[in-house]
Amino acid sequence: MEQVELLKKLATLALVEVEEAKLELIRRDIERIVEMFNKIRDLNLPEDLEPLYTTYFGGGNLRDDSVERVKESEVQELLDRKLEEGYVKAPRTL
Amino acid sequence: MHSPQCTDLATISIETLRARVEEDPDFLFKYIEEVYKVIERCEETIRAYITLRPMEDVIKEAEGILKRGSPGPLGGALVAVKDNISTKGIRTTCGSRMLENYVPPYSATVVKRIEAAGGIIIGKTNMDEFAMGSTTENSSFFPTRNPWDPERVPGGSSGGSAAAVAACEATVALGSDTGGSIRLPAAYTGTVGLKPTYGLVSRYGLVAYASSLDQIGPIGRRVGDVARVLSVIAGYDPRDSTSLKVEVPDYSLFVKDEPLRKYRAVVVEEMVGEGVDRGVVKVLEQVVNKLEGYDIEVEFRSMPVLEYSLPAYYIIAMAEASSNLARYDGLRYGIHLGTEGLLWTKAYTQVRKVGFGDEVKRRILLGTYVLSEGLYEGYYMKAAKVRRMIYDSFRKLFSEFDLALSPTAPAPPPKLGEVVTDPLKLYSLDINTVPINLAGLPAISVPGGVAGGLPVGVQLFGPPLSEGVLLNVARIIEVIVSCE
Repeated sequence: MEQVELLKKLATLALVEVEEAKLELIRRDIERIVEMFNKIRDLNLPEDLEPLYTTYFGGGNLRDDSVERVKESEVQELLDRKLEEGYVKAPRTL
Repeated sequence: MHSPQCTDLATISIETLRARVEEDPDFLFKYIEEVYKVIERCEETIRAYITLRPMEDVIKEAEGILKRGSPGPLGGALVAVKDNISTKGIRTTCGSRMLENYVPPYSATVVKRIEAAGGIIIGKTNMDEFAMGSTTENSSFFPTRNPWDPERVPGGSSGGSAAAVAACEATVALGSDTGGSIRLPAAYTGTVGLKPTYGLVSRYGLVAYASSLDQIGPIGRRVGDVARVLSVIAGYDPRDSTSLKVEVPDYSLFVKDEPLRKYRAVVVEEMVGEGVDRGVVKVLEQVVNKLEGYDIEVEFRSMPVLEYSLPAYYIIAMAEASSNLARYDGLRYGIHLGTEGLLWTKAYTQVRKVGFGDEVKRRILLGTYVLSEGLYEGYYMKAAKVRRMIYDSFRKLFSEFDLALSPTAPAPPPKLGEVVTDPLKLYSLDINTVPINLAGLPAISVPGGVAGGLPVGVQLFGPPLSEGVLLNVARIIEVIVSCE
């Protein structure tokens, strides 16, 4: 990431304004950090290696209901009942 | 280890405090007054607190505890709480201008549990802004100083919590640890700091930095105090979707001067290799030698993947931070600047420009960068794959060993201003602590000795939910060090 323009674009995307006076310093710091990150980018890793996003395997729940398995035919039947001229009628949200 | 600020009375353990209060309830008031005297004498230099509660409020709460008939497991202990943990009615700033006037309408689960167990919140401690830093110099308000040498940093990001405990300005403290933020300040201040297994302690009420890595944990002057607080705060909480449904033992039962069983320990070669100060390595070697006298067998193993842990950690943490911190826009959370009438993007940007400090902005920018289209696969996805490799390597390691040892920090605490202006130097302080967070493992930092007149921490870590083993071995190290 060499250009100041890219830094400005990132700042716009992140809704963070970098003071003009600090722009060069931040650009230099970010460039060095990205260089450290490139150690990861340049790694040759197996395609099938599964990424790990969390170390929590407790199966916690944010909601009280749970997923139920239904037969495909039941899903179709449900859909047929909800279809109006080929469209699913959804509840009004606004 | 007690810093020069401590007095005999201010340094007592929770166990002693509890016993003395049961004997004579007025002892609690004497103790509170003593701690406030220490604060009055030291706080001007140390600056551990962002918000200190008035002594009258604390005494009133102590009266309430005594009226219950039992002082509870914490016996009226004065608990300093890191300022990113929500406390109902007490300002919670996260060390940031963005939240400088934020007073939460609810308390974090850990705070509720502390209060129910007879602990009294004495104040909110200084920290690196939004926990982004390793020295507490990134606080928007002021830096905290190390009680052992005020020219040096106390570590971070829970530097205020560790300094408060080290200087006897509190009995114990709560910190949060995303990549070493409890253990590093514990190592630098000669205190004991424990990062629990991911999910063991509820994060409900903890202001999120990197949610897949954050954990709350205790800091104390003794292993016994840390075990006691952990027993109080650990356990399932339906309000945290990543809370583990496990039975929590009384961790105090593990705090024994002898091994509870035969342990096999390992030193990972990469954690004592290049870049680690010789004085720090020597302290670890001395500890290892003494442990062998306790029939704890210590072997060496290599884990080459650790070479990638620092960049993998910072990619993941910054990516999560850029998402978590999107809520600070002046509308949902954050300062109000009177931006009415401005285009929403301009209004949000203005608030974030004024509210966030440079390090936070840098991490948000980098998080946005690694998540952007075309770069996501090369950075974030690969970092998550490296995380898997680290996780699997530790699993393999702990199928053979009960625990591992390493220096907590690669060197003694730096002087104020020495590393904070160089982000790479700052990040490298976390080299031995971040792999543990990536794998969600428990770890404890315990004073292992002294190098150059400054405390050196030894890190013990183990497989998930091995806190009991770590506390047992940490206590043995405490005994070894106190004998010396």
